[in-house]
Amino acid sequence: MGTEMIRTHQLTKRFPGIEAVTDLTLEVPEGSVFALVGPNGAGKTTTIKTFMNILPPTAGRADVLGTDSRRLGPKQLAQIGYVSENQELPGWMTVSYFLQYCKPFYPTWDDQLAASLVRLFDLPLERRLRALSRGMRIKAALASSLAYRPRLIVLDEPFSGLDALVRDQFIESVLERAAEATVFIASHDLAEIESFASHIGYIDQGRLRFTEEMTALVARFREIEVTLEQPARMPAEWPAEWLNPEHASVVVRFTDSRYERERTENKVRELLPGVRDIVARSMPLRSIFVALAKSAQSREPGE
Amino acid sequence: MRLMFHIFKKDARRLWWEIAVSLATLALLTMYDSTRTDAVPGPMEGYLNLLLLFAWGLVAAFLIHDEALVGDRQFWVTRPYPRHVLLGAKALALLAFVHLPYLASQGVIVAVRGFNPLDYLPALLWKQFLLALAFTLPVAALAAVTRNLMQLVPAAVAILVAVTVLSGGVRPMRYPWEPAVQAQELIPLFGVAVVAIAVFCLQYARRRTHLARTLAVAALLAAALVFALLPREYVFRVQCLLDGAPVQSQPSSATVSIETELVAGRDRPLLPVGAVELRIPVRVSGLGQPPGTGVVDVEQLGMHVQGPNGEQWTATRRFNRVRGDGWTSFSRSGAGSLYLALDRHFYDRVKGAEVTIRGKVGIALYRWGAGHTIPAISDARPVPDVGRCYGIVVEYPPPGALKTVCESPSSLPLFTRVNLIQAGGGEVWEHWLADAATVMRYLVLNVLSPMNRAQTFFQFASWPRGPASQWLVPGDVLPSATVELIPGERTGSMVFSYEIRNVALTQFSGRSVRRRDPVTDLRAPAP
Repeated sequence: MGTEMIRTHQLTKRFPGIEAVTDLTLEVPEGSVFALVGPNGAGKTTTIKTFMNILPPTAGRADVLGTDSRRLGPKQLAQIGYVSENQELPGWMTVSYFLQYCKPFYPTWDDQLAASLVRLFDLPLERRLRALSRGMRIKAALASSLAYRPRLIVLDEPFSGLDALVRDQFIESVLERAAEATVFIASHDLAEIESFASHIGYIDQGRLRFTEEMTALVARFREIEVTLEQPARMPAEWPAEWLNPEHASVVVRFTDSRYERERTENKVRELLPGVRDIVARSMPLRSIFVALAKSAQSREPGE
Repeated sequence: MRLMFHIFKKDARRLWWEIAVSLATLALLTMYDSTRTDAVPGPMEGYLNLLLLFAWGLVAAFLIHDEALVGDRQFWVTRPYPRHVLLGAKALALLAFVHLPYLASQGVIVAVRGFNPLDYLPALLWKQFLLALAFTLPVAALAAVTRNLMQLVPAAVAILVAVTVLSGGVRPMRYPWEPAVQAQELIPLFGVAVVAIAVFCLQYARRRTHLARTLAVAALLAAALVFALLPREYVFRVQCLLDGAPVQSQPSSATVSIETELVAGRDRPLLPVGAVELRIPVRVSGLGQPPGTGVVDVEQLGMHVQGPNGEQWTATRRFNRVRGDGWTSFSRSGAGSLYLALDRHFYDRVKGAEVTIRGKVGIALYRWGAGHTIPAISDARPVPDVGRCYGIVVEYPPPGALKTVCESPSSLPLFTRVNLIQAGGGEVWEHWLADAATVMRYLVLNVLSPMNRAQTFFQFASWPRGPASQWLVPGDVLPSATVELIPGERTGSMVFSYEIRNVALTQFSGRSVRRRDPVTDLRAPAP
């Protein structure tokens, strides 16, 4: 740890009539599994395409493997494995020829690893890529991107449209590599991300809302349910870290985004009269982001 | 280098079908071209020329589009392709799949026609250069700024239409006896090729599609305008350089004078709307070339008419071999006509007065070389300074004719006299190579042929010859007759200005010209 594999500083990408990414600053530590999550159209793919030098940035900069993204060349790309849901593969190639074709571009290509990935993914070697199902195509792309043991694996919405079995295979193979590589994954599939991401960044409407280690994020979010002795009047102002507060009769619920048991309980007792019981439930990633999204929506009209 | 061949092999594997079709088409064209015994290509050859260009275009486009430079989803952009290696692989493929087969085909055709290809390597490489300039580079550049054929084809059609309109429309057929003005096409084409290379390199180095597209469109529009607006004098001078006869200073005795013995008349059907056509018979003389020793080829480079009260009319920039409103027509001795399609309003204002005509002409001088004789009916024989020539009897036009054909991988002399001589010093029938245009109702296209061919016909007499049919040849003279070929050797080129004062235009608007002295003011040539 300590070295950043990807570092962006106020990265901005504008298209005619739309700013897809705005002032995005993030750091992806070496050895991490960094998940960039956010709703569809949030700017995840544009962020990746910009730091992969597929699109030039409008402003700001990105460094990948210590190199300015605009100067990413064969030396750097030989250490990056990139798989995207909407990547156009050479459909006329068979899987076998595709792997053969990719091999000479990578000095670190490992035939044994390639063969084991083919076996793991059960890839039909003599079938043309265009004749493969979507899941199989993604697996072929992944096999061709892992066989040279990249230092950085970049995955853009890799799970879209994949069935459960393929997802498991996919995650398994990526995690096997994660021990010696850094993984950057953009997805809106929070359930899958939760199982293996070490860091997380949340992007919405082109802006990075926060970036954090997964354990810290999960630790600080709790769904709080407070039971009162009797119906009571609610405070006019809720603390900013309490998201989406709601109450019905003697029950008050909210999401605490800075949960610390003692501090949260003291605050509850301070603001709500006659507290009978406080229950704090840990939240899955999906619930955290739903809470964040709802909170953002409820704030928008007043912003 | 290893990666370059790796990508090259992939492209060969990917495009084997398209390459096979182009090679088969080329083989067929080679067969037709190498066995042709006429200056005009047959219909199959014409269509094969078109088909081959189409097939090569597809190969070039697919080659580039297989690693498309436009778009953000292609798998290769995130792979460690060294861009210069990719560019090299594509250039290698274009060379291997288009230019080398074409060179081989040219070599075969030239060899089958009896020439040693190595002796004509510069001419064959010049054809390769022209193909790259006019076809391979523009197609490759267009492919580099498009994503696929769905983008490329409409773009190509739009460009062709725009260039055609901007450059003054479809050029009328060039008659065989007219010189090819390559310079007019070569100058803008050279510009297009330079920009095509720039676009190609820009895309491969940086993938800046918007910039590359803007550059390409601007270059094409500029090239079309250059083609249309390039001053004729400049074109003439460049053409003379290409012909190996740079423009020299003209003799001070050179003049353009009104040829008052000739008859004016209307014989030009394509007039601008509302124009009045004048034909002024003139003669170019004083060029230092004794009559009968050669040919004077005159080209009008500019024309200006000034009325007595300051009225002005200037011919548009297109002259002579491209439709315009001022042109010339000259016989090979230097006598000919200035044609003016005057604006009617201008004509009405000056027709009663005397005007001054100023202009510039470009002159190419040819001197007759040594004659070389071959049997009238013969297989191909070498003729110095021409190429190889042969004579065959053809049934068409009825009742038949002797066809004398000359061919060479090098340019044929623009003027070559062909005399059919009866045995024993008898009658002589005189023709020139390429003195007849054959109108065919099919696609007559042989731009890819390495051979230059020209021919003339001696028509047989089917009835007893009388005073009006002396030009017809009795068939029975052929077995013992010979054909003498006398090539015209280019000896010089010059440009000079002339001024003719006190010209009454009404004299030349379709009536006979009366002698009227002094009508001309023969001016010493301008520096």
